[in-house]
Amino acid sequence: MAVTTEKPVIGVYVCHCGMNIASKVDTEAVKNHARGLQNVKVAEEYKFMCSSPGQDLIINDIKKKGLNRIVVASCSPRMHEITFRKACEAAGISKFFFQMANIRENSSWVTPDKDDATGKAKELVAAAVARVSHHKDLSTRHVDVTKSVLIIGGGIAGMQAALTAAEAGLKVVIVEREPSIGGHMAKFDKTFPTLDCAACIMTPKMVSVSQHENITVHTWSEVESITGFVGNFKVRVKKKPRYVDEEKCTGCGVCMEKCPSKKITSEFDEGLTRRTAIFSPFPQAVPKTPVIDAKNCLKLGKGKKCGICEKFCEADAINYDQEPEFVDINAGAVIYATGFKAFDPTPLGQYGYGRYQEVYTSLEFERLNNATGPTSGSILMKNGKPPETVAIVHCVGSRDKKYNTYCSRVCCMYSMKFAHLLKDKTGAEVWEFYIDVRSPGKLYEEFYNRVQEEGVHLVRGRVAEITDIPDEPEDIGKLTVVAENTLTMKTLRVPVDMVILSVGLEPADGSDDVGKLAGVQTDGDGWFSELHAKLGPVSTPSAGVYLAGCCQGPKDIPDTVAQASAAAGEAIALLSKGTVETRAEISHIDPDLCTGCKTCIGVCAYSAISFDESLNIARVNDALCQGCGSCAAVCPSSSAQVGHFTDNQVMHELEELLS
Amino acid sequence: MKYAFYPGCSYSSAAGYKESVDAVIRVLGIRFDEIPDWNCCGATVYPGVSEKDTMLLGARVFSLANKNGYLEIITGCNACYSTLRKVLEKLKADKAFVEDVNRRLSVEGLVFDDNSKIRHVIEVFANDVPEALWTEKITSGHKGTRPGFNKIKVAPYYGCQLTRPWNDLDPADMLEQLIEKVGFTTVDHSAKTMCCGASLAVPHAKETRPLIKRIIDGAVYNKADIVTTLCPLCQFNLDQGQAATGTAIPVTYFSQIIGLALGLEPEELGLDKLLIRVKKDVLHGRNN
Amino acid sequence: MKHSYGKRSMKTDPELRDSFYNSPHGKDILRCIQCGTCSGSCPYSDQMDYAPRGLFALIRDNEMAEALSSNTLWFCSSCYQCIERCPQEIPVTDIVYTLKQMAVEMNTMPSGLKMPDFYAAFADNLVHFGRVTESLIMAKYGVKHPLDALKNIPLALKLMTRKRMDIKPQMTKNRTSIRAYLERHPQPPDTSGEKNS
Repeated sequence: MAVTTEKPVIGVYVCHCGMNIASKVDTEAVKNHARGLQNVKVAEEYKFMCSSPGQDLIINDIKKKGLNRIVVASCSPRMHEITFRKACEAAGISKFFFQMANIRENSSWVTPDKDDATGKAKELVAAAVARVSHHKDLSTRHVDVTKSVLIIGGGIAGMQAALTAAEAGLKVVIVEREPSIGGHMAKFDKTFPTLDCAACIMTPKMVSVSQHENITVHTWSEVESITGFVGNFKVRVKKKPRYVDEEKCTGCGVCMEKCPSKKITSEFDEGLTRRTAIFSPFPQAVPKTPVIDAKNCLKLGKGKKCGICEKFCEADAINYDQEPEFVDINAGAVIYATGFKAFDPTPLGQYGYGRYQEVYTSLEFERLNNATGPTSGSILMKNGKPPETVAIVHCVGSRDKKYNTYCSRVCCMYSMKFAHLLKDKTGAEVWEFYIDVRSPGKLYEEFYNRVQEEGVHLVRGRVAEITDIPDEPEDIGKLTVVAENTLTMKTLRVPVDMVILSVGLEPADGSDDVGKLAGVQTDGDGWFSELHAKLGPVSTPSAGVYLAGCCQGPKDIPDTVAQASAAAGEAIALLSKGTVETRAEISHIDPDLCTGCKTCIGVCAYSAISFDESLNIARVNDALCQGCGSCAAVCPSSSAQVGHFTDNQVMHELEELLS
Repeated sequence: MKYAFYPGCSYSSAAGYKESVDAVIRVLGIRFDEIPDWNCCGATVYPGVSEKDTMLLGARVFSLANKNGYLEIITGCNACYSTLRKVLEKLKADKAFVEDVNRRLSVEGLVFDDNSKIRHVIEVFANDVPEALWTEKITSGHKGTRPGFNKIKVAPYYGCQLTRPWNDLDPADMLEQLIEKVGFTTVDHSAKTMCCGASLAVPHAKETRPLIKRIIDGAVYNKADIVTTLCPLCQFNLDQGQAATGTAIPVTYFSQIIGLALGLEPEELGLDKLLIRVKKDVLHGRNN
Repeated sequence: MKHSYGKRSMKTDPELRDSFYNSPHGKDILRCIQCGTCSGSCPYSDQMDYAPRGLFALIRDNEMAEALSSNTLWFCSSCYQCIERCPQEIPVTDIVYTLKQMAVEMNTMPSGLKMPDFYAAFADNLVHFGRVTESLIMAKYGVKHPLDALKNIPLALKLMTRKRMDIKPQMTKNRTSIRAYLERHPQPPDTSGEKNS
């Protein structure tokens, strides 16, 4: 697109936007006003400028009447700037010779009086006309991209995204901070509503991930830093020392059997059992290689003479001298899949978690059900007996202004799943206390019907308290659950053997720090902020950075898998062309005017400005610059100017508005 | 150490509350200045009649203390504490109403100072008395003339209105810490802040029975020897309410526990006023 | 339970609900998700026609007559357990107090109910003496509920032997100014059921 220095010949188009603008603004008057403005050759009005005929109007006028600048007075540029820019290009003029006057969000929608609204619309159009006369054509560059994706988190979301991206031919690197991939799903027993065994459906994916030629997995690792820009991220990964050589280890497990340090609380078993210092979290772990928890290791952490694992390892795989290893990776896109953590119900003293030993969180109960868990899959109390009555308490830490105000979305379903498993495995009396039953997915409502038919006592009433003081002496030792059945309006006091608290979901620990590495924001509840709540759920405002799974908000497995593939799809789309286009509206520093004061470098949040010592001038990296304008604002010589928002353009717009 | 003291209407007829507090502060060298001409705060009754009147009643109480040079008042009754604190917080948030209140109080030459504060008597004992003074004065347990108090199990009972709706008692386990500090052993139970029935206990004795039973059961199931409370109505309800539950665990005031640890005689502490009397071996400490 | 209504016909009185909504925290009940935690926490919910949750549902449905003439208000012991646990942080106890004020003003207490009479005796004592004396409250209350009073004689005797019965009224010196302060000299609520709308 050649830069033109010819006189501006402007076309102004006033949109009715149906009734949105026309009901308040006198569009004919605005059109007539525009006709009288300097350099305006054509002024028209139309019902829907964004429609095909509307756009054709612009295109034809450009071709036939020699227009070289276009102003459309309609909605917000966020809606249709791209539409009208494309129309300009289609007609053969630069898309940057276009300006929108927002007479909808900035006038008709917010001004009660019609005359005021029309007057304001006229002023906005005049300002846009003044501005557009000073627009310059801008150019962009295409930068090569690295055809690889970094995925932070190796749970079901991370693995699904990895497989989709890998199948499209992209190289994938997964960084997982636990010793194994699998995430929370590896802890579950059966999943709702199909009652598929979590391990059965997930382990094939784990194996595929570990064997796929395009996927590299770094477990027991964390992302240290991410620099660069879309298509060209530079990532540093810190691999924590396992103290076991992954190449040599056969996964025989003798080290774990022989390790004398056996009293460490098992994180994977949610604190219900103990593990050894050298450990692999669960039998189907990928990779199989154990890690040594150095802090609790007698030799590495406590300075004692041990070394038993080394002695017994027939593969000679133990290496106490391992140091952290740093791996540098280039990635074209980043996908966050950092998952969630369960809400800790200790602050809700009325539920007695931590005081009464038979009160469990849902994740703890999952471990009781899981065959690799502390009770090998049998539902047993701590005294070794199966419970005869169990209460399941919904909405613990969710829908609660004191803790998390949101609904955690999955708890109703997993609570009903528990009820079913209890009935199936123990035949116990099951009481389930809810506020609402939320069962929106496929076959979810039917699952609710099934659980009702299995004889689970579903009570509509949030549990007020759980007490160990029974109403009858024969119930000493049991827990009494107190709740109003809001439908019968009676207060129930039910003695039970075991209580399961359906705790909500919260963002994973440390996720906000990891998010900051790539500029991902968190919302008020700590979940990662997506680009748009409705239309951009897997993207972020940071180009090339995507979200998958619960890190963006609580969701179940089907939605997680869908979102993960979607995020991978976005990454694939981004990287498929092989290049990315730099932004046009970025800063440029005029080398003739720059005095070398370096003030701009200090204010640049994107580290996009470097200093050329030999010429004593600052220079903007056009790939890193985001066009925020901070440098232009502070530049004392006005040599830094943001394209499409130059002082000249903005001042002319302002002068017209203020005149 | 001296404080403006608000007794409340149930204080003097309580089962040894006044006697034990008077005796304990005498030993510790603290002075409680009863607020002159104090009026009833309205408790949990008057807020149900008129909010404005309740605020005026409370403002008068504070202003009487202010007049005597005190910004802070202390009280030993949960309902008085909560009602007066609510009034205080509402007045602090409503400058216009304070002007109105002061206009009306000016008839008596009183002015409400909105820097006033309120605490419960237990906070004075728990937080203001220096460690060294306790150590000097405590004669029980392992230290002095009454060994064996550490074998006595005390179930702490806070009642409702000290901890709710405020939720800011600091330390949160103040009563337990105080009981242990003076040499007794506390018993953990789940009824520490369950409701005793308050003003409904006598008119609705039958309906209140399950409430009393739950609290006493908490103490009894955990093998407590005695219960200790910090509100006159709580002590009254748990004391007389056991006639209907068929139990007989003595319900004391925390100041009586402290008094025993300080070596004071049961009569000085008004322990003879309890309907369910404390057994001798508890009074004198258990040796086996 | 016989309900006695105040002078106004409350059944379709939208002003009443509006005046409730205009009270401090009145509009908070719009947030109620009807979870039942307040009712479940309430020590006397078994005695109530409608536990707090039910009251809020009635008010939102403009059933003010039903709400104000329920026995719910008179079984609240101000334990604040509801406020502590409400997931919408609705100040339930304070709202019950507001409703009590409305009920007293409009005389809508169910007839024969004990607590309104007890409260009336308390309030009467306070207004006259500036302080209250338990024995005098019980005596006044006993006039309306003689059987109850009789049932408590053994307790009274026991208390007397333990020297815990003050018969002499406690009072402030400045009794007249207390009385003058109080805007209203509350008539003991009439629960005889004779007043009708």
